[in-house]
Amino acid sequence: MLAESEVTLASPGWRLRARQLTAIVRIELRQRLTGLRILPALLLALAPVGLLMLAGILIRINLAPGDTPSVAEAVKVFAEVYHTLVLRFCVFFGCAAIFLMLFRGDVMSRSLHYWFMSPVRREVLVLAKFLAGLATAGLLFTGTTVLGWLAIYIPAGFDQLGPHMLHGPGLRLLATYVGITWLACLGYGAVFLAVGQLFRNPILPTAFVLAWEGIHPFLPPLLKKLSVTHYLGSLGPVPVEVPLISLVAEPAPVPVAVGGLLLFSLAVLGLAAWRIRRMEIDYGSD
Amino acid sequence: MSPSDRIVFDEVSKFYGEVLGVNRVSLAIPPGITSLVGPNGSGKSTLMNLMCGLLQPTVGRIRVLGVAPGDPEQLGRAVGYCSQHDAFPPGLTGLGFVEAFLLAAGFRRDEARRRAWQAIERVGLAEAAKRKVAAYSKGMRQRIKLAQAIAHEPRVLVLDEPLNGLDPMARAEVIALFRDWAGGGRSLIISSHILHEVDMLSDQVVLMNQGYVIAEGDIRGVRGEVTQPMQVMLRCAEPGKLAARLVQLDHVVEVQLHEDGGGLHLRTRDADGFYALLGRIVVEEGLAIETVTPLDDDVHAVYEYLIGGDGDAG
Repeated sequence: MLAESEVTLASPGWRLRARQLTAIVRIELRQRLTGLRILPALLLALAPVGLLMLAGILIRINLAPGDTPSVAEAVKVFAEVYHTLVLRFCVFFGCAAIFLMLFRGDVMSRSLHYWFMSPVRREVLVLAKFLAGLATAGLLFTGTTVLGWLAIYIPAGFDQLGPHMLHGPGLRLLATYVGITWLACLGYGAVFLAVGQLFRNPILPTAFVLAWEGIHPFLPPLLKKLSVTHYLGSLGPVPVEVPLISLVAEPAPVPVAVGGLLLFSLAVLGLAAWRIRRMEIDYGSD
Repeated sequence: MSPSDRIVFDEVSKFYGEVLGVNRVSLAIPPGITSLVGPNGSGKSTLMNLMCGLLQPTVGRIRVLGVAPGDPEQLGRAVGYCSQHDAFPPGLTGLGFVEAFLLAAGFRRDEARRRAWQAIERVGLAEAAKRKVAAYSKGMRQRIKLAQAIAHEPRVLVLDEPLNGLDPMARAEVIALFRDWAGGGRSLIISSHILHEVDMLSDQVVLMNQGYVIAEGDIRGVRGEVTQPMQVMLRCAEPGKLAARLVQLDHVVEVQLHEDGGGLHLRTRDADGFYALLGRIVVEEGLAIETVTPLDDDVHAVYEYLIGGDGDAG
């Protein structure tokens, strides 16, 4: 006798999987974007905006009469803040907060079996959770990037905004930074999703990833290619200061940097998808 | 009955490192209500998690209605699972919880909503459906988990301690739901430590201890495997006269008269033989028997004999 579900639920296939993917992304987004779960990542996203705005206001207040701060100088400051604070700290820890909990959070709340008992391929589940995490992190840190960018016009005045964005390089630069932000979320997201799945206690592996990304300037050129920072650094539209003692590697051309990061993320997601097929749930003893 | 109607464990063992979960389990569970009974750590939940694909066997093979637990797309359609853990994704209403599961399964929104309501009504929780699960009582949470497990109409329902926390009224309703469910040729696997309910509910039992299946089958059949004497209580007017005849039987090992003089207890190694002879003795001696009560045909007694506990399978 066929159960009712088998009559109305479409046969397994790409159409059904696409519907499942969409449904799971929506459910996850609703959970990730509401409530206290989002708070740590939100604070990390707002921190650089606050800092840039505060700096802009202080510069503006302390301007000597006749001084006209240049937007180009502000763009350089933004580039430094973006690389050192936004990418290396806020996006890194924001992605850790979001992506580590995609599976770990369900294990900790003893609710992962609800997903595992759904008639859904586990690979679909990995992809759906990743996309939900990516959308959350991407939206948050795009907000950081755009608001932080707007703050650079505070010293020179917002009357510079229109000309710089529309007739100068502003729009192109901002679009590039937004693109880098999404790529950073993609790369760090994949890494932290896998870490959250592979390790019961993700603190040590996260510290390792942080250290690895931190020592990036001192890594030999071959090893540099195994870090997210290497690809992101190659994409920055405005050059930033590098540490004096560093092993210089040829910056990757944009297609190689973007393609490399995509491939790197895909490989890590593939590992996560392979791992989840063997993942077991055992919340406690009998 | 074909293997595609059954849940089959073929020499299945599960080890957690050095620790034994279950060892060399071979079972073929037919449709109907099957209860897993055993003390803490006996392997009941391990067995359930194995058949749901939440654990993978170290060795051996499992098939649930012919489906491998490693195939979540097919297994999830066939099986509904209700964990003993009282945990839910945060922030959801009862309706949202059931609906989310159906949407993730791939049902269209209107169909998911219809099925969610149907399942919630079935467990008697319609009035509270739009309240947050976090505000539910223990019994309500048990019922909403049950609604989630049955919402997609699976053919196998696996329920870990499903009667925990239910008040007597809800308990009776849920037991009725179980009977109704299993009546349609479907399989219901439950673990419970409330043995008289297991006894009332089950078509068959699987007794487990320390990772081993020590007996399985219908309760009387399992009792038949036990070599220990079986107890029977008789209430009659002249118990002394009856006792005198009974002690002459080879298989009767003990007879005790009741203090009130209105009956006796006996222990026999051959219950069927005893019942066959009892009628003849009654006629020959002209006795009036009020009641004959087998005391060991419930799972509690079987459990006590086989596992040596006090019947609290916890």
